[in-house]
Order: sequence, then C-alpha cells, then structure tokens
Amino acid sequence: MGETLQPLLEALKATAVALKHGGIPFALAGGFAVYARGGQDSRHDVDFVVREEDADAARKALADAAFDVIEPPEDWLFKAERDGAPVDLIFRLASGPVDGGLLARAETMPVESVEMPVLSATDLLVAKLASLSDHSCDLAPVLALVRSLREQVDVAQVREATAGHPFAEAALFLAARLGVLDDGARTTEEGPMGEEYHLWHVEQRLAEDDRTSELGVHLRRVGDRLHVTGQVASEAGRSRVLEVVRQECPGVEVVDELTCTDRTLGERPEGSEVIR
Amino acid sequence: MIRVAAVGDVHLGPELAGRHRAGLTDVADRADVLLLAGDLTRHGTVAEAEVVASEYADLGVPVVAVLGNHDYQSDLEKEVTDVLVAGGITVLEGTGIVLDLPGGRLGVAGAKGFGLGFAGRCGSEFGEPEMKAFTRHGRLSAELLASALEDVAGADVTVALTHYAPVDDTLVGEPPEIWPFLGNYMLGEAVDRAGAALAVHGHAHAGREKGLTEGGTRVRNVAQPVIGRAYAVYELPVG
Repeated sequence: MGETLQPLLEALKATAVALKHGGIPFALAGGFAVYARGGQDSRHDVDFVVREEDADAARKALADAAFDVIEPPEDWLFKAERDGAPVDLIFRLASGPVDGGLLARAETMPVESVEMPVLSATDLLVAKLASLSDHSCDLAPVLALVRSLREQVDVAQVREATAGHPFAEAALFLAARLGVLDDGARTTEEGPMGEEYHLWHVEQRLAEDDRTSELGVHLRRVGDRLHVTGQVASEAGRSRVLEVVRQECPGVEVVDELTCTDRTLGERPEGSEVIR
Repeated sequence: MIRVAAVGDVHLGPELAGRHRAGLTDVADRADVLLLAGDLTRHGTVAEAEVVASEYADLGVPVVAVLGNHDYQSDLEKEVTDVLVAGGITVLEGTGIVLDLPGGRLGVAGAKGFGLGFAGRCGSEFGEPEMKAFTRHGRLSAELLASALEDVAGADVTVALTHYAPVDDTLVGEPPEIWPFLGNYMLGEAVDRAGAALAVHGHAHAGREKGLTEGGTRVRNVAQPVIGRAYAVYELPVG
C-alpha cells in the first residue's frame, strides 16, 4: 500500500502548493479528502476541485510546476501528471458545478503536513451520493464513508441536496435503517445503540454465568430476531445459553444457530501426522 | 519413533461422562502417550475433575496434562490437580517429566501459559497496577515453560505442552482483537530456545491446527473443536 500511495501523495502535495502559489481558489476532494477528515474511502485517485472560470489559470500554474496537463474527452475535468502520478482537477461534480459556495465551505487543514482547503464532509458525501448511478451503485463504500464521517455530516443538508436522486435516497434509507446515520430521531434508551450495549453485556454474562461459562457465543440482532451464534460444549450447554439469552432479552424471537462441539468427543482419529 | 496423542479443551462435566472415553479406549494401540492441553473442565470444580479422572483412567498409556483457564474458574486448581493426580494423571505447571517409552525418552515440559499478545501487539508492564500484573503473569508463564523445558533437557525428544498458544499461526480464525488473550510470543521463544520438537496447545477453539514458531518448530492447536476428534496423533522421529 505504502509503495503505491507515496507517488500519489507527492503529486497531491505538489498540486496544492502550485495552486496556492498561483492564487487559485481550490479544495481537495474525493477519497483523499475523506481520508484527511479521518474517514474511510478508496485512495486510488487524487481529486481537486476548482471553478470552471479558474481552470485555465490552474492549467498554467500546474504546467509551471512541471506537471503535464492532459485534456481527457470528459468536459468536467482536466488531468495533470507528474512523475507518473495523475491528478484530476474537477470543475463540475456529479452534484453540480464547483462554485464559490462549495469552496467557501471547505476547511483548511494540514494534509501530509501541507495546509490546504479540504471539502466539507457534507459536500463530500453529497458528491459521492450524486455520483451513484445504475452503472455504479456499490453501496458498501458509501456506507463505510457515511459511518466514518457521520459526526461531521449535516444530515438535513445531505437529504436536501440529494432529494429526488433515487440511488442517493436508497443509500440514505439504508444508512438510516442500519443505524449508521444519526437522523436525530433515535433515543438513547430505546434505540439501536442501547440495544447493542445490552447485547454486549449479555455476551459477557454468558461467559461469566456459572450456568453457561461459554466464551464463544455471539448475539446479533437482525430485524426483530436475535441470532445466537458460536460454539457450545454440549446440548445441555445449548439449552442453558438459550435460557439465559431469553431471560436477558425478553420478548424477542431467539434464533438458535449454535453449534455443539461434543459430537466428535468420542470419535477416534483416522490417522497420524509425522512431525519432521 | 514416538507416537504422541494430544487433545485439549474437552470441557468435561457430569453430563458428558463416558462420551469422551468412548473414543479413548484403544488409544494405547495408536499412541505411546496422551497429552492434555488444559480446559479439561468447565468450571474447575472437584466434581468435574472427578469426571476427567475417570474418563482418562487405565488407558494403558501415560497421561500428562496442564490445566487451562477454565480449570482455574473456581479457585480450586490445587484440588482439581489433586483429583487428577489421584487418578493417575501427571499434572505439570512449570515442570517437566521424562517418560521412558518404547521409542525413546520423551520429555514433556508443561505450563498453562497465559495471554499478553504477539510480536508488535503485546501488552507491556506500564501504567496501572492491573496492567502490570497482567503483563507480569504473561511473562511468568513463559518463564515457567522455559524452566520446565530445562527439566527435560536430557530427553531424546521434547514436547512443550501449554494451554495458551505460543504462536499466532494457530489462532487464525479467531478474531484478531482477542489474540492478546489467547497466548504470547514469549512462550514460542521458550520453545525455540530449548529446541523442542513439537509444541502442543489448546484454548483457541476457532483457530486452526497447524503452525510454526519463528525458529521452525511445529506447533499444533489440539483444542477439541479444532481437531474434531477425541485426540490427534503426532509421530516424532527419535535421534
């Protein structure tokens, strides 16, 4: 990872320095911006945003800094490359053209020890959601991004900015349904978070309770059901675990997915292994 | 050639009496010695220890055991040990035994071991007294194994017997977050320094059977759920 990332990081820093020297308003975007904010996203491409009216000045600033400027067929960005590491300079995001408002919402922070404006978490999520389409609708990285940046995101703004976009709405629905996105509707006593802590305590109780002493049992809530997984030592152990779980989690349908290890206790080995 | 049978984590109790023994009756035809890698009981009670003793009684091969964390659960490890010893089982903790077997002199060095973690992700004696105590116990566990290995230095072949894992190879399958509770690298270091031929451990029910120490010694996780049999057999060449 480090080997392939380093040239990209060098190009990222050089781009930011060149744009700063050229006095061109810009911001870091894409996966590296998410990463700079402590979030989780892929870091395959270095993305910056500039306004379309500043694109020519940006081309010149980068050419002066020994970048090769490349014009791809797409009409919403240009590319710059130095030492084999490419950088995308985007002036129109899937969520709309890069404008002064977007750049004003960016915050300056150190990225690899270079100070540069980084798009706000809300704008990063909006851009990511808007880029979803029927050809590109893997929600796993989107959910990872939401989970990792949720503290920094203004959910109401994200909903407003992506309203009517079916893939964005689906992703936000899923995030809310999974309890990943805090919509302000959840209460700490009854919400999923309180339940999670309760389940973790019950798992510990299953290890510590003399009736069970099972250290390898896990509880997982799926909808209205509570799945009990892992290994128990005997059939009697299985019923004691389920008894404790039902007692601690009343009113929930318990799904027994435990496996029992005592079935092979009396089975003779088939052969032996020679240790050399 | 010495044939070593081994199993750990059988977690016996009254409700399982006789179930394990059904697979053990002809162990003498298949092996020269039976090693038990700890967690022989569920809660470390005397009643459970009595089931263990009768399960392994009169098998026709020497039975050598270490205790596991479950066998300490009731703070009765001495009483549990007494019951096992009265049943003819040799129980090791920082000690070794050299067995004169038909194939040669087998040294078994035994210690329960302890957690603490593996290279680069290991607890250290720093901070709160509880953290220091945890770390010290991990270190002590390895010192006990090293001293047990010294006890058997004159044997033809040596096996290190622990409950906790001396390497992390055999923990793959367990969540990495709990590896520091499953063993420590200093146990592996003791095995390598003594030049044992085989290291046998249990504890990691969801781990895998085979691994290697840094120095190349074979490590076998014989936790019963891992081997899926009453015991596994390893043949050790002598000389």
